[in-house]
Formats: sequence, structure tokens, C-alpha cells
Amino acid sequence: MIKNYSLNLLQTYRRLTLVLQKIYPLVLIDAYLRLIQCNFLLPNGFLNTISHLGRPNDWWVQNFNHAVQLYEILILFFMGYLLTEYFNKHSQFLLGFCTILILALVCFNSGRDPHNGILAPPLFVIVLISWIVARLFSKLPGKVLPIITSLVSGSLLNQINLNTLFMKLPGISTSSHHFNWWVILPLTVIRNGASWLGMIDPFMAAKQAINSPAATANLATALSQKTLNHVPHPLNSHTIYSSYAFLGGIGCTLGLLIALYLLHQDRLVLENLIPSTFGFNAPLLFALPLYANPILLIPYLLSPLASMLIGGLFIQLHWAQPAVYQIFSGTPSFLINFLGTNGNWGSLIATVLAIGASTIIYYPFIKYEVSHENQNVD
Amino acid sequence: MKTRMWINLLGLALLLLTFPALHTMRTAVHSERVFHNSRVSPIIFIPGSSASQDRFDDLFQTFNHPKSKHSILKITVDTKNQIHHQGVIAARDRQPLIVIAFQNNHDGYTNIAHQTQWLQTAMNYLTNKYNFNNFYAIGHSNGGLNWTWYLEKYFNSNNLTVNALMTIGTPYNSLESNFKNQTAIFRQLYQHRQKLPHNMIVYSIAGTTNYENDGIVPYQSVEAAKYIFQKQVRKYTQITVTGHESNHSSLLANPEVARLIQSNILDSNLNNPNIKKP
Repeated sequence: MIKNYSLNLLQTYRRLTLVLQKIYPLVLIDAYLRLIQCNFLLPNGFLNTISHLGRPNDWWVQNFNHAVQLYEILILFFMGYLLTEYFNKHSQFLLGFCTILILALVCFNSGRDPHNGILAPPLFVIVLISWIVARLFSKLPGKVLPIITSLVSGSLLNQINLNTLFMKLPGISTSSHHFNWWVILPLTVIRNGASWLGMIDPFMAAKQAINSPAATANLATALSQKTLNHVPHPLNSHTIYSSYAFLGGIGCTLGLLIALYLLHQDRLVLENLIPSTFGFNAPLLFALPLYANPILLIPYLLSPLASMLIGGLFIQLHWAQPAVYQIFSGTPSFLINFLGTNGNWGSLIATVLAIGASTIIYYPFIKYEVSHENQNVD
Repeated sequence: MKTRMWINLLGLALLLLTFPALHTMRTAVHSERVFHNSRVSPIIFIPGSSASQDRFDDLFQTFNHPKSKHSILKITVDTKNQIHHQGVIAARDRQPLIVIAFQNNHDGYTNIAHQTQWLQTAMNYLTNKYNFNNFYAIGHSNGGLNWTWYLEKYFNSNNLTVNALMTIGTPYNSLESNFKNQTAIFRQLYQHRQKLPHNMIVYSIAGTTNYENDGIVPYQSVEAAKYIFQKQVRKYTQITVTGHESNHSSLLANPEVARLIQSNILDSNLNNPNIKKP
């Protein structure tokens, strides 16, 4: 019985992997679109600012944003459809349709904030819905009953989604003046673990905004004193967490990309080099896949920790200055600290070392994955 | 192999982004700094002759009582034009109190001329270091002469705005009680009065213990300010305080003088000509 169950689980995981890899090209395109959005369509976009291009007019910006949002929703629908098909032994069009119906209802934002448009559910929820539809709805007789059940359950889930219950995960509180390693490290682990489970919107880019009291105080000091050596809070959630835990996106996947390069996964690296450098690692997470991958979970949790510790050490020993200034939106992640300190070479060295450390952490696991994959193919 | 070459090329291109990015960031931070610091508007004090940088300590205590609101920076310029400073300006203080004193703090025309030169040095140092673009000036006794001379001779209104000048017991006609006897310092200031910044508000406070003087400076010498400022600046107000603590050296301890500074200078951000009302 237990053996049967675990075999079943393994099979489900294999199918999930297949679907994620099938979706990968679509997600890759999305990452490029997001990159354009962040870098060219926002007033302080990175490439836009450094190339002194003007911002395109609002009509373009708005339509582009809507198009990207719609495209992402369609990817999620397609994923739900494929998952339902893979989870059910006898693929039936009706079940795929039911999944899409439920997902459409879940996304529909009928609520308080009409400007927000669509509320995309996290991956975890999509997998769950697809699995339930594939396994349970198939037992319902006829065609009308599954559709009615979909409508009812979809509206119910919609209410839950509107209350953003899925989204409310342990975030990192940035309002504290006192920085505590014993809080920030476990929280990072929890947050990365949640994203590994697909509980965080994969398309969301890691934003780097200065809004915590400590970061604001640092900024004010830096602006009036011209030096970063005497900022009141050299260690805070901004200078450590936002600046070092997202080198290449959530999970410090820039190191993962370098590990892939060292292991001659050239095609994947070439496709992901630009999005990953700019911090959009969603395609990478789909391609391997990293989601729900038990082997890659370990480096995925460890490398941001190593990176943050290296950054913290450098700042503590005054080898690097803490990042203080507001950087451009969509700044390549290896430049976050360098630009955030207005060109402090120590912090660039710390960033390079942090990326090196995550490369070392990812390397053995990726090596195992790659050899494992090759075996499977043979 | 071809893929690998493309990866290397792309990687290199991305790394090269560092340089334009750094350049743009430096520009952005610079303009943000200028913007940030234009909100700072210090109040700069100059003591009278024979007084040191600590001359205003008691007055500052009244301003920072019961709650410390203003940070204090004291500067002394020595005879070699070198700057010695004490204290710091807190990062978020928009109204720091700054004292500029001179090692050579003696009276006399040539000494005042030198002091005004040193004042120029101190002001350059302050504006370069703290990037403010507007300030309030307060001078006690000869400090008021330093300010007036500086504003006529060295001050560049393109870079800096003086919101208000308040002189306390300043002898514009030296110690002459008869206006017909014009002194060198008065002639100097009167001659160049048209170079005064026109948008400035000037307050001249006179103290009298009797009907003639404050014990040292004749009332008529303080009053001579009207020939310099009237019709040159936006507003010129002369105020006379009498009664207890009204003699020349105790004017700064006079609660009425403290109140005048408080209401006309410290709380006058609403009248700040830099903040244009819609």
C-alpha cells in the first residue's frame, strides 16, 4: 500500500517535471518580456537610464503591461490543461476544460480593487487543482456535472484567492531597526522553501526598494555626509537580504547558471544568460526544473544564506560598504551592491565572492542532476 | 562550440555594462544629493569681537530646550585661513545651528576686513561639505558687520540664497553717536549697498539701557543700518529692546532677543522665499 502510494507520488512528480519543462519556452519568452518591461518601460529602468533613451508614451506602456499579464495568465491556463491531461490516464478534453474553467474563475478579480485586473494563483495551487480535477472529476458521470462542479468550486476558490490567502506567506519584515541574523536566516529559508514549493508568484521580479526606516536613515546620512562609512544601520534587511539574497533572482541562481556553464549545458545557459543576469530566473526554475526538486532544494536554500553571510562579513569588517542608494529598476543583480554603494569596489568583490560561493554550492548538485538526466535519456 | 562563443560574448557585454551603469549612478546620486541638501537650511551665527565659537552656547541651550531639535557645528578660522571644526550636523536635521568664529577676533577696520575674508573661506567650506543652497545669517555686534560686508563683497546669489539676516547690537557706524561723523566701516558698507541680495529680509536689533546706548554701542550707530539696507533689501525691520539684560554683551541672554530669533528665523520656514507657494 505504502509502496504503491510512493510510486504514485513519484509518477506524479515525473509528470509535473515533464509539464514544467514543456512550459519552459513560454516562460522564457515571458522573462524577456518582463525584462523589457522593467528596463525600458519604467521611468527609472536600468537600460533606459544608462542609454539615455526617453520613456515610450503611456499608451504603449499600458498596453504592453496588459499584454504581458494576459500572456502570463494564458501560460498558467495552459499549464493547468497539460497537468490535467498528464495526471489522468485517459486524457479527456472535458477535464482539461474544467481545469481552465476553475483557473479562469480563480483569477477573475471581481473584488475591491478593479485596477489590479487579474490575480494569478501560485503554481502550487494550479498543480493542486489540476490533480484534483484529473483524479476526482473524472469519476463524475456525464458532462454537465463536472462543469457545474467546476463553476462552484472555482467561485469558492476565487473568494479565497481574492483575500490573497495564497500569497500571504511569511515575508521578511523590513521595519525593524535591529538586525538579527537568527531571524533573517530562518525567514530566508522559509521563504525560499515556499518558493521551491511554488507558493510564490514565479513571474514576480525581486524588487529592491528603499522603504524600511533603517534603509531610509542610511540613505539620508549618505546623502548629507558623502561617505558610507558612518551610516547608522550598516547591517539591515536592505543591505543584507535585499542586496545579497537575490543575486540572479530568488535563490541566488546566478551561481546555478555558472555551474551549468561549467558543466557544458550551453544551450540552457545561452537562453538564460540575459534574464538571469537581470534577476529573472523563472525560466531556469522551470527548465531544470527546480520547483519541487528534492535534490536542488538543498543548494537553493543554502546559497542565499552563504551569500548573505559573505556580504555581512564584508560589511562588518568594513571591507565593503553597505548598499544605500536607490538603484534603477531591473539592475543586473551582480551590480546591485556596486551601484547601491555608488561604486564601492569592496562591495563588488563581495558580490563576486558571493556568486562564487553559490556556484560552489550548486555545482555538485547540478552535476548529479545532469548525469542523472543523461542516464534517463539513455 | 559556437553556442559557447556566444555565451562568452554576451557575458562580456553584460560585464561591460558596469561602466556606463556606474557613470549614470554617480550622476543620479549627485543630483539626488543636491536635491536632498537643498532642504537643509542652516542658521549661521557670527560672534562679536573678542568672543569665541562658544559665545552662543547659552542661546542654543534655550533653542534646544526642552527637546534637542537642532544639531550644532562650530567652526573657527585661524589666521592662516585654516578651518577647525567641532560638532556634527545630524543627517536629518534640516535646521542645524552653525557658528563661525575667527582666531583673530579683534575690533578695527582691517581686522574686520580680514575676518570677512575668513568668513568667505568658512562659507565655501560649509557649502561644499553640506551642499545647502540657502541659509539664515545672525551676527552679534561686529559679527553683523562681517555678514553685511560678506554679502556685499563675496556672496554670489546665483549659488546661494540668504533668507534673512539678523544683526544684534551691530555698530554700523562704529562707536560714533553722531551720524555726521561717518566712519570707515560705514562708508565701506554704504558705498556697496546696492550689491546686497535684494530678496533678503533684514532685522536689526538695538539694545538700550538709557536713551543713548547699550552701554557700549550708541543707538545711532545701530540705527545707521537703515541707510545701508532700506530700499536695498526686501524688508528691513529695526527693533529696540530695553530693560533687564539689554546692555551690549548681555543682549544674547535677553529672552526677548531669543524670542525674536525663534519667531523670525527658526520658525520662519513658512516665509522661506525658497519655498514658493502655489
